Amino acid sequence: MGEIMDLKQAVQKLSEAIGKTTELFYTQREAEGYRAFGELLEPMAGLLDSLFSVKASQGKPEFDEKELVRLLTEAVNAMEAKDSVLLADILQYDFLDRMEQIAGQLE
Amino acid sequence: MAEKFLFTSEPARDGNPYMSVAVSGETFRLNSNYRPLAEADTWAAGQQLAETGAIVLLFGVGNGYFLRALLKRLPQDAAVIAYEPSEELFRFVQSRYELGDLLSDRRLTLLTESIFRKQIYALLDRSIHWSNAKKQSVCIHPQYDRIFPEQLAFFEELIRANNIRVYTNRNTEMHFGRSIASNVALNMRYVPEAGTLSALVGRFPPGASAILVAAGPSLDKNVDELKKAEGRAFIIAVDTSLRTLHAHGVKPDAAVMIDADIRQKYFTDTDFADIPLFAQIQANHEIMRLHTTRKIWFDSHAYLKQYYHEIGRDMRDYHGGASVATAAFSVCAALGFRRIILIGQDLSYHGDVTHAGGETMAIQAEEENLCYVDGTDGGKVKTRHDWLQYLRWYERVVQETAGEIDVIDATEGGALIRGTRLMTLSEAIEKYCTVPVDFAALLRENLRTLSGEERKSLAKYLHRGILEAEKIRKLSQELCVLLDRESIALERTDARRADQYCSERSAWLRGRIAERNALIADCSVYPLVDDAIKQVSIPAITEMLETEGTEKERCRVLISANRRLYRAMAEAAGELGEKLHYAM
Repeated sequence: MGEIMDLKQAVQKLSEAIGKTTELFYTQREAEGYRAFGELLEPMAGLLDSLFSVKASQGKPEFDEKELVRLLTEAVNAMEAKDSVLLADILQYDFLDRMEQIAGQLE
Repeated sequence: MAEKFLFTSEPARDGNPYMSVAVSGETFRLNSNYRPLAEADTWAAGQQLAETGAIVLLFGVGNGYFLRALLKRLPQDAAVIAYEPSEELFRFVQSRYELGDLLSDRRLTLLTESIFRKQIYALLDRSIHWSNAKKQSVCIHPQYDRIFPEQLAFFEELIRANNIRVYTNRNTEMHFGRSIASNVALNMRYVPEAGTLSALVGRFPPGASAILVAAGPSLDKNVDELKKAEGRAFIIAVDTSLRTLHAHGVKPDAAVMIDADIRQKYFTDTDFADIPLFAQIQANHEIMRLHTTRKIWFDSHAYLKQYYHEIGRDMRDYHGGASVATAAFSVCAALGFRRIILIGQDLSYHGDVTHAGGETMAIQAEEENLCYVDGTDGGKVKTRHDWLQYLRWYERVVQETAGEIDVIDATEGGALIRGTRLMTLSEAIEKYCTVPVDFAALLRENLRTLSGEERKSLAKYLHRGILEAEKIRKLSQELCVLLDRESIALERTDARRADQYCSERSAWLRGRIAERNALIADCSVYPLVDDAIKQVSIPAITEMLETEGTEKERCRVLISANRRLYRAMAEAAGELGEKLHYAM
């Protein structure tokens, strides 16, 4: 139970951090945005690891692991193409959306 | 070859269309392809905008999403100047997107590439003043910095140069305001015998050339050649070149003077007294007194303009740029010359020398503002910030009048003025100074002085000015008394109710000041008084505009700044009244 609550809090925290990062991209503060995104990578990877491990041990929450990996690959591609708005869109509307769906299952 | 653009508009995930631009093998999305309108709102919310009186300079209109989001955020007193650097893109957008609401928004001035360079200078001149310059924000449409980097560099340089102009003008107003007001009042005595440039427009023979003599170091090289042009061109000389011309036996057809504080030494050992003079009425009255022949106003102070307006005479402004040479150029252009030959227009140092005759004239903070620009000889030449400003002015005007005025730079040295044709003076005279010009006859035939009736009305106008100056003095003194009383009351206010008291009292006080100020500003002599107090009024107004803090602190500044301003106004009005007496 404690593990699931921790996960829920981690999703919420990440959601706030992603919101702040995407705002930087949407307002053309790209250097700050990429810096903030760089700082997000570790917590994002940590959260995904935790989700995968909780799912493996408890059978929930349900989510498409491949799709999450695909989204992250798209985000990295957008970053490499220096398309900061696409990167923000993927984080804000795809990745965060999935995270919130997953968090909903942790109620 | 112009780059080929390919524009596309497709639905985003949320159903709204988003736009892309493909150029040189690269594709740039102008909007989010997820939620473009939400992206524009977030972008607009992130722009730093002044809360009141904001002036937004937007680079790129795109499909209008960002501009619309910006306008949604701005109050009604804001102004947006939007520049779209691609005509093609704008045509595409007009065919695919609804822009009616934007184009009818009275806060917006939209300039597309075809009109931008013709209109932006006048627009910035009208829109940005020292009192609102800090309320400017420069916004760049996403991706436009990548698609149009050269146009963006030009746009940013334009804004930077405009800000320098705005603050230079402020400093000039502060520094010369008092002299300007005093000169205008004292020079009004020359109005009956003076004429205006309008009377001479289009009177020169077709095909005649003008030679504009500036006072740069290169004038020493070719001044003797000028004798060959006497009677074959209209030779107009800036005031500081007269000594060199006289020393070489050259008498120009006309001289130009604009400076309020120009020094007498430039006029000793010259023919100045009997050379027709194109002048601003605000020019140094002591020098004006030495001048005994025809004066021709080419740009006037509001006080003189009001008089000409009352007698129904045309008094347009022809002044351009900020130097006496750029003013002389504007005079030639206004007179209708289609070919203007520049000499002595170095706009750069020759070693340490700044002017003809081996003279070195320093300016304030000279060392901090030196830079290098392209020279006419293909190398680099050293220049300073004021000359650079004039150089940019020339380049802009030469570009704007291309096809109408052929500008030949026969300086034979100095900075390269882009758009001009380089030639030696000897060659230019040989080729283009072929039409005889008799300026003295032209003046005799066309320049009209005031009639008997007009002289009487001028006397009445000056008398009215004297009475108005006294009225302004009294109204200002009354305001000083009122402000003193308010200052005492403010300091006695109970600290617990200070904010409420100050809020109510400030509003009341502003109303009283505005009421009196309307009576003052209604006087024809007010522009003179206003100039005379710039050294006090500009810092006082700046302090009022920029003060933050508690209601009490702001109220205290409102009182003290206005107190300084109206005390200066009372003194200035008294002095100007006396000077107008002298003009009568």
